[in-house]
Amino acid sequence: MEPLHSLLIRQLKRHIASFPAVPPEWQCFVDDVDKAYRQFDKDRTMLERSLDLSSQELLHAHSEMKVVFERLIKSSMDGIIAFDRDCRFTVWNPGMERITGIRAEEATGKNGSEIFQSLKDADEVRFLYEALQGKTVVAKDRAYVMRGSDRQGFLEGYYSPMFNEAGAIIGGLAIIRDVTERKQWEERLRHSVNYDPLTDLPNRNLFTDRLMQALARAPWNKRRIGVLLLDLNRFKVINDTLGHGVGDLLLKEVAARLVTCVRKGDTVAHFGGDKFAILLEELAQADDIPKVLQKILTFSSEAFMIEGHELFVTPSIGVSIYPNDGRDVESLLKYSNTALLRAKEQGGPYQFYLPTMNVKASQRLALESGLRHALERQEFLLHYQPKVGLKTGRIVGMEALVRWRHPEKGIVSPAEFIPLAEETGMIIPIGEWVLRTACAQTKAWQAEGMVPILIAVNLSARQLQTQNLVEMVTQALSDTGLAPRYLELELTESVLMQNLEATSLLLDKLHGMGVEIAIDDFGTGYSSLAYLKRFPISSLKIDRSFVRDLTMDSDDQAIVKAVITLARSLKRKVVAEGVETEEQLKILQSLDCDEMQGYYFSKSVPAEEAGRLLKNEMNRPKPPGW
Amino acid sequence: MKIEQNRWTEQKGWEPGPPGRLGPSAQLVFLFDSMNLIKNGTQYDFVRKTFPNAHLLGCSTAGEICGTQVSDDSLVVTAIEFEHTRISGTRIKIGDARDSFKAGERLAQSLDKKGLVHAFVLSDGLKINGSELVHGLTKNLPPEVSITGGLSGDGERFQETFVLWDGPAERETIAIVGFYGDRLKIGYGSLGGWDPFGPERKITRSEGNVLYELDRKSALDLYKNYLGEHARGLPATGLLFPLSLRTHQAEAGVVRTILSINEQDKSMVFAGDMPQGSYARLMKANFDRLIDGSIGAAKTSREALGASPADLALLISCVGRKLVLKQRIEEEVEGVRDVLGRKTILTGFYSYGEISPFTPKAKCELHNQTMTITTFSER
Repeated sequence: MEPLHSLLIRQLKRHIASFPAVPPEWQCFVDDVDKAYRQFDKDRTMLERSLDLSSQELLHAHSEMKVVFERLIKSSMDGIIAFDRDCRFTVWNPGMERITGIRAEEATGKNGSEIFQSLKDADEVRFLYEALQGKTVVAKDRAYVMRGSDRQGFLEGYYSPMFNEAGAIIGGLAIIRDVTERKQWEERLRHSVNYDPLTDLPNRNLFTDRLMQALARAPWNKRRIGVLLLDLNRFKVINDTLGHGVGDLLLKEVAARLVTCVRKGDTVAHFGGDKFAILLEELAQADDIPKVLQKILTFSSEAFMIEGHELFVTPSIGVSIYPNDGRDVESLLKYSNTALLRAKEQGGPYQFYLPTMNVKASQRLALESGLRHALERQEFLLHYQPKVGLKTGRIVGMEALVRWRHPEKGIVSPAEFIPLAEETGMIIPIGEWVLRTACAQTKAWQAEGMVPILIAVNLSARQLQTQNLVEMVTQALSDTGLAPRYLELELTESVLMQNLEATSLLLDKLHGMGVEIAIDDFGTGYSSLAYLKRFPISSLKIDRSFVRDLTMDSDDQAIVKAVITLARSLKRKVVAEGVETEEQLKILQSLDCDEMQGYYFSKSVPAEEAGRLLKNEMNRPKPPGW
Repeated sequence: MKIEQNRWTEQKGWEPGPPGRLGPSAQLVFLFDSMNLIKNGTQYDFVRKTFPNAHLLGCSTAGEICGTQVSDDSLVVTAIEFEHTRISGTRIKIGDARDSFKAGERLAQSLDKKGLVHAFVLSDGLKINGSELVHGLTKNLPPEVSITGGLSGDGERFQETFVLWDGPAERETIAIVGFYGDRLKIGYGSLGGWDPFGPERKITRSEGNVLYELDRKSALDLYKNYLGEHARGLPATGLLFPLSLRTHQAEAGVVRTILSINEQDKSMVFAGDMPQGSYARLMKANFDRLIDGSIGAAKTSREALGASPADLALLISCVGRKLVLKQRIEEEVEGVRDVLGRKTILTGFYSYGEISPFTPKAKCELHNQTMTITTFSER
């Protein structure tokens, strides 16, 4: 038999004198108590064992989790911190060290205010305490200066409380991310949306925005707003001849100079290409604008030195003003553009917008679209104006003049459509058509047995710039069978003096073929006498403005006389244009001018009538006055 | 309701005397026995003859409850004569635990639903998936019909269990009895009183009520480790550490106990489903909490009856509680009696599983390690 439970033995010894003998009536009771004691011991042992085992299991699970947890925290690029209820840091990971420049050894155990006050960051401390009050705080894009450096950065932080199982706050944690790089990218992106990458000036987008804001303020402060649209004359030539590199550098220089022309609050924008815009805000007086214009014109008169090139660029400027011309972004920009086009048309440096321009602009637009179809619809025709020898009174040549028979407007004057054709480039095909038609007509007259004459065809500046002008002329002559010596090409003085080197080469080639060259409108532009001598020019045409006042103005007479003398000495022919009266004729004859053109003899006439004139020429007596 | 209760033991024979007072007027007799007396033989024949007109319902147990006494190796016979209540029942055989749902369905379908108030089930305690059985029953009975019952026991042996309905007890049997009549009031309640401890473990491998792995480790090894020297007593000693099972995050855990183990594939068979992916925690007993649990179940059961005391209370308590409480087992029955009062006749048994909703209105479920009480009263 098993001995009794040791505790029971001690108790029985103490209380029963006869022990180990137990009174028989107690025996069952003693056995039950012994059983109960043993059962308790067993149960307790087993429970202790199970609790011990489960505590080992939990410890193991805990340490495994701790390893993962610590690795995660250590390897995070983000700053991770945890703090207790007194806001003392318990976790301060390497990410946080990188962001703040504060080591974990310094931070752990210290209070949030102690640490962050050294960084003068009161917000951070506030967020920590808010988390300890149960709030979750998300703080985005906070400016921040790292300790021990001046580097300005941006942080994004997420602060939240930590609860125990009972739901009580036991501390908090924060995840803090350095978003400086992302902010910089965003800034760059934002900048690129609003700024021109070449000049770093505001672009059209930002300009429009600022104009809109200025317009919103304007009714309150009762000030005017000026919108200046500006482009550079001949910029394309610079770009084409010196390359885009030089062109870009020039634009940067122009941008820099433009900025110096305006007040601090004004906006100079670059719309791309050679187009700039200026927003002048809060103008007290309208004459503030001319002041700015004057500054711009002054700077543009100085040369730009770009990679050893001395470049001169002149701007054309269109101006519209709020509230006079328009009250919204769209109209102000549209009208300044209209004014700019007008300025370019007139060759003037600037133009203020006028309501009439608008009418003109829309007319011009209609004309332009009509012009594009005029060739294919065969709406062009040629008129001819005879040139007459002053000594003989005989027709020696004809000038071919293009006319446009518009289906609705009737005959459109060349003065109206030629500049437009020049601007749009339509002059190239039109010019070729004129040349071919004139050559073919002349050949036809010759074939009819009429007196051979010289046919004069005008060349525009744009035609002169084409690469294949010589080929085009050669082709036209060979296609029509007209001998080159019957063709005379007329160029205006100003066209001739542009791009002297290239023009000289071109004229030499044409002259070499046997084609004659005449200078049109002589006396209205600037001619270099040296070039006049060098160019293979056969005749000078004195501009009609000198001829008109020949009878009244002795100055004009002197000029005409000088031109004729000059031509004589250079062995060039002289033709007087616009002769309308007998008086004018007499004077020209007395001055020993070679030929004349004008109403006095004949206006420009259709080909049929010109043909009749030529036919009559064979058996016509000398006209009166000769 | 008239009730006569007698107990037979080898030493003392029938106490307080042989049954027979109700004689032919008894309608239902409960027999709970841990001595194989109900399989056949003298005592069974005697009871059958004594109550010729009564339906007999009973099972083998892991201990019988008679009044406030808990005894092994006895036969407790409780005969009932209802005044206003009619009963009807049946039994079926079950060959395979996988047929548990179907068995539940068949049993439910066998009952006439008209006037049915309550269904009481006794099932084989080993070859059954109790959860599936309950599922089959609840799906096929009207929602207002309450269901209680239990799985029969085999002491601490876990070898074979028996159920009887109007004939000698047999293996692999399930019996059901339906109570009819609008004057019968039924109360029920179920409580455990076990405390989970240690880490929560995920069921990583299981099939139905067979558990293989917790957290990818053998569940049987875990049990052996925790039981230490008591591992030799498996599967009975497994009842010392029932599992608290949580299927979904917010769900209150159900308790599962071991029915058997398989050393070959290191598996453990539980009394109910062990769904893969759910979470389990080991539980441990605390004497006072177990006894409080029984008292709680009694209170819930009694409240359902209103002011008047119950005539009869059927106590089905888990064998696991008996393993823990040992000498103190009667304290839980005494606790129940204190709540229900002296007028209520107590009977019942220690089982391998309890069937009941935790509280009125809750879903009927299979429980383990609880005290489940069904109270009857006629008005």
